Amino acid sequence: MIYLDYSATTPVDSEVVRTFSKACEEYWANPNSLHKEGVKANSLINAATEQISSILGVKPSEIIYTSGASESNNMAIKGICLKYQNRGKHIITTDFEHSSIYGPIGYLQKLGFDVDFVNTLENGKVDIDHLKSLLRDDTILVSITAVNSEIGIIEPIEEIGLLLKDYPKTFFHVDMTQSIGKKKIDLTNVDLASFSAHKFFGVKGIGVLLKKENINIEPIIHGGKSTTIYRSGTPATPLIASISKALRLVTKDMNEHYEYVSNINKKVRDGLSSYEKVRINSPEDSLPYILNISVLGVKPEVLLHALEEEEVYISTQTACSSKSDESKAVYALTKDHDRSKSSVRISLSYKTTLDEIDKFLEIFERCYNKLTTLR
Amino acid sequence: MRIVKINAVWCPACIVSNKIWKNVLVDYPDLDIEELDLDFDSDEVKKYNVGDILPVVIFLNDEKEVFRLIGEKTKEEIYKAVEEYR
Repeated sequence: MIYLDYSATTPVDSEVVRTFSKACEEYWANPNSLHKEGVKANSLINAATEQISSILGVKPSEIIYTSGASESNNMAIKGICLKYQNRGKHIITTDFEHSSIYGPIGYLQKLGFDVDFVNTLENGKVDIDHLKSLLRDDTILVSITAVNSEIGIIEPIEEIGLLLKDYPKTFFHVDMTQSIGKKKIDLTNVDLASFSAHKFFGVKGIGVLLKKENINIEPIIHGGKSTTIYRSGTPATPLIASISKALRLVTKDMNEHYEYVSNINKKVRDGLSSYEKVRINSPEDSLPYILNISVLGVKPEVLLHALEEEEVYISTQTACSSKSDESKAVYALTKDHDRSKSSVRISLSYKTTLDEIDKFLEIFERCYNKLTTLR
Repeated sequence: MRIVKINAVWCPACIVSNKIWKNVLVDYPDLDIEELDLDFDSDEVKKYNVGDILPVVIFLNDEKEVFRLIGEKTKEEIYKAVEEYR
């Protein structure tokens, strides 16, 4: 099997499995219980939280555990907008977000919130001048992904954060799901940030919302204190220990991993660019872990299944997107329906080997010849 | 004339279109618009043979379809359809 769908999810690292398993067996007591076993479980959570806070440069009290990035995104967007709606009801986002950003924004629109989409430049990055022109007195939230999940466009989060510093009534939320463990994001001027463990070799079912200490949100799940007052429910000790472990492992050699993945991305890019009907949609300066391409005239699912027959796994759009026959993100970037209706995502990791890439390029050639000759 | 608008909360094209339709309702307050959610009103939505692209806006005259807008449309396209079929 050649797995090239790491942006959809990753296999759990065996060390993470061991941490999870050990916590299940030895730290199963309720961390909120006052007895010795509860205190022991609570200590493990505290140690895990300390470790995450140290890796990300945030305070332990700024970490809210959730079930994953979708919940974190919902909690950030609904939580801020419902809490501060007396200040205003205007939200700004982009064309490059995940459906778990559009979902809560669409829901809030039904409740009377006003939504604007900021323009992006030719390379897919947010047009800062247009963002400035959209900001109003009643803008309470700007939500922008750090890295687009389909194409890998890296948004200028630091620059946007600096701009929003001058708008104290506007909160800034960043979806870090595709950047975490791959590229460091400066969170100095970010109010809220979301991510999920399963994108970096962690277990599914655990994510984090980072929330600056000085701001409040309306909880989605009410019911009393857990690890924080913002998300009720018995703290999931094994999941919390495992996300901390996964984050430590993935960030340990992050820069070396980035360089390695940049090299294999270049190899795939160079290999695929030579085909007449292939278009590379990801701009050169995108996150190297994601490579979006189109094979003109070939439906994404047809290419996906042809590769699947040879045990190569890639994806069409993002696994969580709509059933639409075209990628809105690719269209927003390329303004070309032929490309947006034929785009697929190849996603890499530092665990992808050079041998896998060589084999993938061989298999791609066979599939390309078969599918483009058929027409 | 009745208009059926089929959306989904996670659909960005629907979010963009809803903003235009909000203004349409200000300009044409008598329009009879039924909002359906693709996921949560699925039984009702099935009646309209909706494809893969959202939003879908169906113009009905005596419950017979006379026109439909599919996907994200400009303000001009939406207003033109309303003016023509209302």
